[in-house]
Amino acid sequence: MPVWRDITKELRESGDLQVVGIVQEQHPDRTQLYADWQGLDFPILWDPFNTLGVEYVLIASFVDAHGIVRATGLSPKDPERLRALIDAKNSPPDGDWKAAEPWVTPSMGRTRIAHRPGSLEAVKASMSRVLWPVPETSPSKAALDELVGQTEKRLAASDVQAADHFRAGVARRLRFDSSHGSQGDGQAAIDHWVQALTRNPNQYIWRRRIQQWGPRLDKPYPFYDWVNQAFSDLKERGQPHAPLQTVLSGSEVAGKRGPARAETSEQVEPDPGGKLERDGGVLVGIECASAPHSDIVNPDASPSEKSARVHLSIKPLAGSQWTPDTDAAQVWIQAPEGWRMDNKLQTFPQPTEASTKKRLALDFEIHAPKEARKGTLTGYVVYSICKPDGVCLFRRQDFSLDVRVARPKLKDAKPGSR
Amino acid sequence: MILALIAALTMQVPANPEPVGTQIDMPLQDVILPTIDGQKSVRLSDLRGKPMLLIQFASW
Repeated sequence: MPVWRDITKELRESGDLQVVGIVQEQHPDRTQLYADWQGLDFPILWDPFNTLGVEYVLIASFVDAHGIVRATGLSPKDPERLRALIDAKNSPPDGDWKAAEPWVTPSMGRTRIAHRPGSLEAVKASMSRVLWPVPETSPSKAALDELVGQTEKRLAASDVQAADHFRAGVARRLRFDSSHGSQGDGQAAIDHWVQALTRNPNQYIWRRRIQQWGPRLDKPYPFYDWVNQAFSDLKERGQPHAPLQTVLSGSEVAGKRGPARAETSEQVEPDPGGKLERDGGVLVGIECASAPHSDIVNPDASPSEKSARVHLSIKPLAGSQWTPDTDAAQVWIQAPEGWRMDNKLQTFPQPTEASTKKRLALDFEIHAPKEARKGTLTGYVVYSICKPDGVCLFRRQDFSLDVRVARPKLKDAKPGSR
Repeated sequence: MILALIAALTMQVPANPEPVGTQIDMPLQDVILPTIDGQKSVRLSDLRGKPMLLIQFASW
């Protein structure tokens, strides 16, 4: 992108060309950070639901003054071609060349037409209310709940498309990353994206969503390893940037090659006798999810791809909160028999604030034996949590998670599904 | 009358086909999208009149 910024600078300043970026990402504030860091001074639009229907990025397309696409796959190494496209005298094409109407518009969410639940129009209206929230802040709980409800009802429609599964995953992840997350959102997002990719393995926008939270061996490159450098450079330039709304997970900064395995100290189980009092999900909620290698959609996936990234997060409930002066929360994990992972005992990051109700999260890799299709990981979290009355309690909470490492069955395979 | 009105309101509007991305020598699929800072929206067809380089990308 910085290359495009540089080679179009004069053309933009002379008025010969306008540049517009569209990002296919889940989190727009991460792109904003990138744009501020790289000085991208042209409009950048957010298309989390892929309403343009692109199958991969990066694509640079030239659109003439009549709105006709004249070239795609342009390279910044060939600025002469861009100049030639600008200079070409294109006439409007004959016949009907009107572009299709926008797939989703702000007005769709503002009209109160009672669409049939699960219809494409109902989905679009709910997408509109999330893309253009009223008031203009983050989407409300009602808007996110409606989006999740409509996109998932849509999956039962007779004309369901693979893209419907993708959008259902985007909806779940949007709610997961909001303050209105519901139990199971993280896993449901991954499951929807796997269903979408199983139907169309060539859709790299969908594949990247799985890979973003998936295991190391599935990483084409680290997704957000540039973020710390961006914050540091912007601070040095006197342009401090607001923190990201969603904290990066380990999988989002990991590359294909991990660091050399650290020598782990002896792993001491925190509550081997099971004597700690159980929380029961009253003070803290646990969210577990596993993201498989995206090649599990391939029936011939190799055994080396039988790994997954497990994500655990804990969030205070009922007005309780974390305080930094207590011991860090820990998790003890029991892998399924024959499965491999580095550390049974892992520690959640300590909150940096004086006290907070924020979600704390960690993630790690797990490797399955070659014949495995799925396994059940069990474990428990121990934590010190402070109630609204200021009393802090040390509690334990058990959990289990089904980790899938083989191709799922199609839930509603229909002829013609993309 | 009321029943007819309810029926009209609940009637499903014909579904648009799935968008198909950018295709050469075809009109650019029109979209309205918010900017990444959420401060405004841009409709691509409003930008006609001047050549445009459309870059679809991700920061990863």
